[in-house]
Amino acid sequence: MPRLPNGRYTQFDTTADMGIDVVSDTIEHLFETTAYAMFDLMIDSSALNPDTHLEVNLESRSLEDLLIDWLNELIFLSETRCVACVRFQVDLNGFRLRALVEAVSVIPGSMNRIGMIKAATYHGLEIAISDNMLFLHVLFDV
Amino acid sequence: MFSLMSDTIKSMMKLKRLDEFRWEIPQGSIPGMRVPGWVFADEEMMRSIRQDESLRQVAQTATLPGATRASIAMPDIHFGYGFPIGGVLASRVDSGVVSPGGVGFDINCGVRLLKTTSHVDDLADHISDLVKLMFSHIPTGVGSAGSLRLNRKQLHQVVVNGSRWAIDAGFGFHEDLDRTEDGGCLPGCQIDSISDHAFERGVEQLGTLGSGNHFIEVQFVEEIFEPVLAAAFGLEKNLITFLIHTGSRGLGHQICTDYLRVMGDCLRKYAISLPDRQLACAPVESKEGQSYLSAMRGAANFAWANRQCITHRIREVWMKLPGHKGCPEDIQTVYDLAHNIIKIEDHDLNGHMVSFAVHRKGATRAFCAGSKYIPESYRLYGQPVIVPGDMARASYVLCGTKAAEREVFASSCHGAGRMLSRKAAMKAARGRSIAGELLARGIRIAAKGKETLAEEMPEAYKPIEQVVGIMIRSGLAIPVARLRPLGVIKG
Repeated sequence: MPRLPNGRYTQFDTTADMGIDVVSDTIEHLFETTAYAMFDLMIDSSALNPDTHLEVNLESRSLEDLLIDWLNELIFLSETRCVACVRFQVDLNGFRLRALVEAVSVIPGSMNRIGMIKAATYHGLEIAISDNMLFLHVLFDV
Repeated sequence: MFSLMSDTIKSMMKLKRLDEFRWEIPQGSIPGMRVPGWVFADEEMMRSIRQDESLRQVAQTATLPGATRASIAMPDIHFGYGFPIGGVLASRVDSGVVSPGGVGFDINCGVRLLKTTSHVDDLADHISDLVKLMFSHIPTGVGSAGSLRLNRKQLHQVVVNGSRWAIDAGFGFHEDLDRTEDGGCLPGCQIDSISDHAFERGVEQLGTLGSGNHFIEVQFVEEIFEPVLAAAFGLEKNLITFLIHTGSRGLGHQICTDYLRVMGDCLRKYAISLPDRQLACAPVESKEGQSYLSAMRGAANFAWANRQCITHRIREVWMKLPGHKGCPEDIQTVYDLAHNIIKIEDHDLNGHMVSFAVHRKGATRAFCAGSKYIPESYRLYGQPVIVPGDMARASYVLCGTKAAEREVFASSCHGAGRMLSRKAAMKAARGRSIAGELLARGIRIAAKGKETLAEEMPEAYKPIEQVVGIMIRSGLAIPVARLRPLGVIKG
């Protein structure tokens, strides 16, 4: 069952772009929280009820690749299906991901916090473990 | 760790000052640099540049295989991802690489300048209507869909033929092609180099402006600096002009995303070591390098067709303007150029012509008179270089020089260059009406949201006069004309 994230995140900005720092207890929750935080940059979805379900299946060569592929697949789905993704259930098996996503239909142009994110980048990407917690740093092209 | 990552780390790169406008990041400043970094800036601009990590990005870009002469930064440089924005790197075709990060996600983001036959006094009472009509007639904003919904076959024709497709479909005149970089079409796009995801993102977006820093401005020619060149470009004082800034939209974004993955695998395959995965690359002549160039050409062609379709919409608006008798032929293309692209170009290297993959990310071509890369109609004079400023100040038309060809692979700055982050701009705009302030300066604006206006406020950008001044005084460009905004539409 897709859910709201249980990790924490903060937003940061560079001269032209924006990114997020995420802390979570498991790798699955890290992926879920990162996805939620990315859409939170684009739209305030707190008052919107999900009306669409999506399924995502991905396989990559590394955890970093899988994370970037996951975020970019969600950007693709958002732009082509006109939805904002708001709840996530991620299952990981090695570098394979299966996710159920609940999304809200949106009118093009309504995701107006920072405009549409073009892509998640590898620049400065970091996934680290410290004190049994997972940390992520990712920058988006806005 | 959590907070450390978010902090802005001011650039600690060592710099050697070469002259008033030239700075060098010495080769060896970071491991693996194959050439030095060169930055064009005055002292005040350098203080601003040092506020972010863009100088480190100049140095990191210098580690790319085949890098020649220098990793170059124009005065509008700011922090990007991988390459800095305002960066130029030429990598030898015979031994170098192509890097999608050296183009960025918005492939062939660029500008097109249109001139009209009307003068500012003729149109003074119509600017408000003109801005409203453009805003209602030209799709803007996040993920905006256009009135052109192409089928897959038509979309394939767009990525192969670029602006030529638009002209054949009735969206413009053949003369537009003559005044577009590369005639609005880079040959060599193979359909199978572009993913279904990319085509799906592009299918509804031809003829749309998008969001962020993309815009269309109505302007007038405020000042002519070089009458002979201005006349050659068809510009005269007080003439009304339009400036379009947009690119390849979702199709280009997806192509860059797809090939960053491919190039990541190439680092292992070709034993290339880089300090930033976003710089991932492949040898120019490799299967992966050629495949990327093919897909990039497709996105570039889409972008040229996009600006051509928007040109057509502006002509339609021109004809509908109440109380103004206009015809489509009144509006002519001055020039259309790319500022996020790789071009295979021949340049002089120690007395020999050598073929390079010239990466320009937030930088444009700037060839001088006589170059084979300039349309015939301008070849006697030099290439028009169009440099947009912010919403309130001015834009400039420059011309390429021999020094630009000799030093910086015939390149120029692409705009004012961002200075404030989005959050900083939002904070600075709090409690103010940016639209009201622009109106007080005689500039009408139509935009989808207050957020965009705040993020794109004039103070968010470096002063265009300073950026252009450095280009001119360092000999990299000749000033031709200054264009003053009268109205703007934004996504």
